[in-house]
Amino acid sequence: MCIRIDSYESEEAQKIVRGFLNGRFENTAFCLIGPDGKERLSRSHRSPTHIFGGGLVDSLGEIAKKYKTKGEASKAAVPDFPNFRLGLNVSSADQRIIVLVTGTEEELKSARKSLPALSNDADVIGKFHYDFETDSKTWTKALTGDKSTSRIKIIVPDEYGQSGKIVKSLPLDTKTEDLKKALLAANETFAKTTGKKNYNTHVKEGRRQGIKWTMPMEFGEDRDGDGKIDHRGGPRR
Amino acid sequence: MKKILAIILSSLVVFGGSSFAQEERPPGPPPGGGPPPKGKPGHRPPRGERPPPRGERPPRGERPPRGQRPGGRPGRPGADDQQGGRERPRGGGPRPENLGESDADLGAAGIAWYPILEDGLAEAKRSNKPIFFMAVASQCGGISGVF
Repeated sequence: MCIRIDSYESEEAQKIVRGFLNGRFENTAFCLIGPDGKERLSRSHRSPTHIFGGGLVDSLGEIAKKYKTKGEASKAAVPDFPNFRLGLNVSSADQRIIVLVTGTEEELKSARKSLPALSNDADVIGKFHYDFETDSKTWTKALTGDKSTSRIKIIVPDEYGQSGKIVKSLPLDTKTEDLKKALLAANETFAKTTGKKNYNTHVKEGRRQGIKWTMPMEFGEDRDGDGKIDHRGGPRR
Repeated sequence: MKKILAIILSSLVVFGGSSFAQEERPPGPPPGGGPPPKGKPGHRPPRGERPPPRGERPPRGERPPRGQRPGGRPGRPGADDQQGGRERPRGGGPRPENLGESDADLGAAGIAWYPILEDGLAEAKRSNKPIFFMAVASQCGGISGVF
């Protein structure tokens, strides 16, 4: 199973990265960990190539074979984002639809129990991102499209993941089969009507358009591990 | 007479020199296992393996990536594959701006990532599956929509 966090999302995230990189902070960190979350199955590094060479997929397969899985796969928790803003951005990067589930704490607790049957379905798994939110202020300004008050929103992110369009809304008590049909239909339309992102031209065009993404944490790396972000040519004035 | 002597002497020097060069060292690495010395005539690659003269090289954009050029320095395995044939600009791996398109089809299933560490750890414990962990920035040079 795979965990992917954003390095600049929070101080907590940066502490995690420093924990893997012996106190240093770098843009990226990779590591293989045992199911207990503690045992290191590989050394950690900022690049997977430095850990596995060119055979990342083969290495992962070999290691996974050593573990006997337990529990039902259909009950795996629905992946959630720390906040909708990040979820929309990552959905744009991955070119996937994001499913926003809104409601009270109680409603979300119930949805987290019922949705794994859908999110782990063989036709659905790995095709969508999910986010659970209680505060409507976190998402209303970023979204256009369907104005329905229904609590499950199927959203297509824009090119830079800073806004999105609600293509369909469904009530929280929608049957799993109906939800699956709606998701797959939206995904099919999205795939047909969206161009594949070229990351090179995306960044160039973003610069030209003046796109800005503000990160909660200061951008940069701490390669000497002194706890402060390094600045070339001395500290910034 | 002097001319004839000069011709004989110079031909002897040329013949002797070339014979010496041929017998200088056997092919292969020198004794001791060190790399062959550079620039010595006996260790130059055969003519067919040498890079073509500058004027005959293909235009810059059509050259094969580093490591596949004749006589070139071998690159790190996989480095060029990840960057669409571009040379690695710095250590650590390709940057999003050096990548082209994803190989995956739009709408196809990919990895079901856990974006919150605690959620992923709990799921790994429940299912007894090892974890592939990665931390990355969801922007490149302040531009969102790349991860």
